[in-house]
Amino acid sequence: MPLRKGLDSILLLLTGAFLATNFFALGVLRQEISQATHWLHLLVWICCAIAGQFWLKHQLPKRDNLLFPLVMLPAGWGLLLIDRLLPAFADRQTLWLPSGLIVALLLATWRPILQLPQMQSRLTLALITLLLIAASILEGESAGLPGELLKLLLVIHFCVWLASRPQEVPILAWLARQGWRVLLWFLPLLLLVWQRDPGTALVTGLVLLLLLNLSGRSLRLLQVSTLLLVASAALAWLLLDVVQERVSIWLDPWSLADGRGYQIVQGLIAIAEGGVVGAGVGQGQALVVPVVHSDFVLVALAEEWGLAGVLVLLASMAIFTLRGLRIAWQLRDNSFLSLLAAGMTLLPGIQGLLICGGVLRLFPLTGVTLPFLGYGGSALLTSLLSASLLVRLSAEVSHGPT
Amino acid sequence: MKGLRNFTLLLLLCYLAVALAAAWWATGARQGLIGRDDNPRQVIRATAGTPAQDGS
Repeated sequence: MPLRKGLDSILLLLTGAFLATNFFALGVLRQEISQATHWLHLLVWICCAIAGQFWLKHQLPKRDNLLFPLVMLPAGWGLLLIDRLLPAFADRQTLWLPSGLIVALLLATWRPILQLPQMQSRLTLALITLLLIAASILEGESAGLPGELLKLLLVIHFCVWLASRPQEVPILAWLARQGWRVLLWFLPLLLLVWQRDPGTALVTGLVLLLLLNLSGRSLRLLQVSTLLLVASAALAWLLLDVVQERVSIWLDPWSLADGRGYQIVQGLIAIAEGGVVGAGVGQGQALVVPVVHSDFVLVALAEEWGLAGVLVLLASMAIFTLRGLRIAWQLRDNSFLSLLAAGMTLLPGIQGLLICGGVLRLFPLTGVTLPFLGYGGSALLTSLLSASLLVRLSAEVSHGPT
Repeated sequence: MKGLRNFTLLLLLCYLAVALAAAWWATGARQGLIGRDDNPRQVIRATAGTPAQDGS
């Protein structure tokens, strides 16, 4: 349901002002203020914000108007952060933002997009198989895109599968009737683990389990899911050295501060250096933290904008999740659309929680990027796609009395 | 989707836990962390002759 008219424009304007001030400060610091190339990333963000807002206003006037500003804030902040940390990487991210946004917005406003997964479930399955093959053949950075898209398609197809359950049949009885087909959902996750990407497998697995529990409320199912999760974690710890390493670093990073625990210890030091209001843009030393532009981008944000910046980011993530789950609740009469809204909310929501919690040593590191903010073109594209589907779903909510 | 409200509350609690953890590292554990020998900023501060920030 749209909030107060014009609120989205005000929020985008505020975000633009925040970014412009920080780009200006960064330009002064680097003595690049008169160079046109310094302003390129901000200019691209402004064009994306204006074009996206204009397109959504005309194509989906009944959308939740808070979602687009909540996506553009971390996306712009990410561009600023990556430009401040590694300018060469920012050029690539700046290319991904408009191209990802165009694809996402065109898909979201394409009329049959919400009927397509249900009507063409075999096509989705064929795409999943193709992506599985691509993910197992490709290596290095190029393996990222199929893995990320696989995550999105798996969740969409899982929603189609769950929505096919007759409402009068209890979920556990229905799962028992499905038999071996239930196990098929775990094969792609196993492949991701085998591809040394346990983080993506964990995010996808968690989202699938949560959707399963949201679909059919049953205490027994919740117990089975928890048991499955604990057993998978124990198995991963026993079989994968990367998981053992991450757990040991999480338990005691201080004794490993010169070696394997260097990243997390330096990350915590950077957060401490930031204090409450931060050192200011360009004034931090977060580059001493390895992979700070991707997994540890929160640390760079904390050092330069302090706890205040972290709280603003967390609040925007929490409001996005809240709005998304509200849309899922409003669409409860249509189980597929409702599950899809929950899935598209949980994908960035759970991923964000896992990486923030990992960096802050609440639990072991998962090695996924912070949605919309961290460096990674394919991760940004997938997050934009899921957010745009959510925007489309919000426009499907009937606006009668609730 | 009957359990959605309780689940939303649970997720919000998770965000609160993350925010509290960030607050702990940025304030409660701050002095101990920035004074560590392996903090590269100590060397920069020593060269510039400036003390560690207090409170910010």
